[in-house]
Amino acid sequence: MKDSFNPSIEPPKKTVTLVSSDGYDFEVEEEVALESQVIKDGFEDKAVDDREYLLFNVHSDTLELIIKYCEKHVSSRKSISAAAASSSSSNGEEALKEWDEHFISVDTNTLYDILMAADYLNIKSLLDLAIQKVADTIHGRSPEQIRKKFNIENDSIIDPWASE
Amino acid sequence: MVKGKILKSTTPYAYIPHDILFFGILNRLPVKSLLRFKCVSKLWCAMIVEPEFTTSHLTCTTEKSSSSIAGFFQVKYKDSKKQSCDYIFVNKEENPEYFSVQPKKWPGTSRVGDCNGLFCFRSRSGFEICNPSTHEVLYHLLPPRPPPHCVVSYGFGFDPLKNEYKVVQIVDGKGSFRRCMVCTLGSNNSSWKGITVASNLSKCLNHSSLRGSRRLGLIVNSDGALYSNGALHWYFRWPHIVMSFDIHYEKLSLIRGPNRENDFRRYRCFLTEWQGCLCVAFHSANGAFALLYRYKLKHHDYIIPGGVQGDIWDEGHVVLPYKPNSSIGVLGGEHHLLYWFTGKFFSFKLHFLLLSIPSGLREIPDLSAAGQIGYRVHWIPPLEPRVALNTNGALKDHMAEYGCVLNNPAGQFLQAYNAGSRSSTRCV
Repeated sequence: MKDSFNPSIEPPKKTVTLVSSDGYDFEVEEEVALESQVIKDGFEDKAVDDREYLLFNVHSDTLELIIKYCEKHVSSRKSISAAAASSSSSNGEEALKEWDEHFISVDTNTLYDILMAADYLNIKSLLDLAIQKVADTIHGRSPEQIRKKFNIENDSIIDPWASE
Repeated sequence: MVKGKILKSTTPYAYIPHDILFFGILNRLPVKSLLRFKCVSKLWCAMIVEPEFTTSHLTCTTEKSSSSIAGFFQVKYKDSKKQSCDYIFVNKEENPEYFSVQPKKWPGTSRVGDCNGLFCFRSRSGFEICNPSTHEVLYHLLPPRPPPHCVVSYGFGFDPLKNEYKVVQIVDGKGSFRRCMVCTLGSNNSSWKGITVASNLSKCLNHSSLRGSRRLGLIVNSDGALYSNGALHWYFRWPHIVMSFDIHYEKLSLIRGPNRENDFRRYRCFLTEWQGCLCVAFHSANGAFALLYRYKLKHHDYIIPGGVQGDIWDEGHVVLPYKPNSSIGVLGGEHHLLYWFTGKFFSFKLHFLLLSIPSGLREIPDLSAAGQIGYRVHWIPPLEPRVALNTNGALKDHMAEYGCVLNNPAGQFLQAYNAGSRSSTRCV
């Protein structure tokens, strides 16, 4: 009997090319690229040999970080589900959280770039992570510090201690 | 991690789009910060009080809210006649926080209930909804006075489906259940309307086996109904029934009390919420132990007393290390129950116990250190108190503003916001 489908032989991994705003090509696995909702949305419509995405808003430095993030999440998701299938206990999710924490501990400019890129590419988990990080850094600040941080002109008419 | 010193660099962010800034970043901030940030700019101020924003903030914070307990205490100071309302906020890891709100803002009347951090008080002619964080008060009239010798109780609850707050009055008279009235706040016609009691319930309520020719017995939580799972609950000590009022469907129903109520006739009894379930707690007057009955069902259906087989209450019991005497309260949370009682009648000393089942009791010394606590202890159910925001301190006729509710340990915010005015508050 002819075996038309043999799962043990994996097909060659499909890849997608992402082009950063400064013209660098990044070849990533399809699965990794599909972490981005934007890429996923138009994915099926595109021809297989035309899977190249020009990301005008994402610099190569940022794109590298984002690919790193997506790769990590794809691989750890696999390992977590594998652990769940074999019913062996694993602290994969905690380890991933820790990794995220470490990943997002970057300076303001990088954080901003990641935030904007995650928004542009619509990667929800990364966007959440970046937003949470920004929120954490500003929550104890004074209004004056906030104005500096976000480049806001002071046009406020509210005096916080007016009631006194 | 040290708060407020996380980041030293002052590099400003480049432009962040508004949807990310407001619906992403600001959504994750505690109310304390948000109210402070209202004075960042006009735009920020306008955005923070925007109902759309506050609703999304509520959803966002409810999703990740940790288990916590907030106690609410009306305090009379020993040395003077002034009263103030104090919040005690307890959660799992941290020490309890203790602070006051301006006494002049609070009426010296009885508490009806609380919901999403808003408190409802009742005086003779009207009721008031207070927002302890913003010190806003909304006044409303009570329905016409019921005939004398009736048992009257009120409840204050929230309908999450329609985003409405409602105040409910129940009146039970000699021989029959008199009426149930409801007032929806913020609706176009926010007047009182009567609720028709379903005939089978009314039959049951007025049946002689339940009450004889008398009125139903005392309501355990006569101050006001317990709000839990979208319904208000009153526990009638005799004949051991819980009357519940579904806030959304505006429907009354009855739940039979724990089977062994007869054995505990002389015990103190409380209605509380624990782990999201309705609970009836009994405390022996002399021996120091407590029994806790947890209602197993989550939906509220008509359950006719005596007509239902099988036990709908889970039983658990704890032994308290002290002998509760006069004033005792219990407050439920997700994992903990908070007990407090005076060791001696009017001794001005309260014991606080944090009880987590099964790990046991822990005394909270910091709370009793606030030694001037007098009497009238109120408690609130375990919902994390939420703070409603309003554009300014002005009173609003309309409850729609109060629909903008933010989830937050109100205590934390109050502490920071009132830090400057706190000392003056106490000498008023």
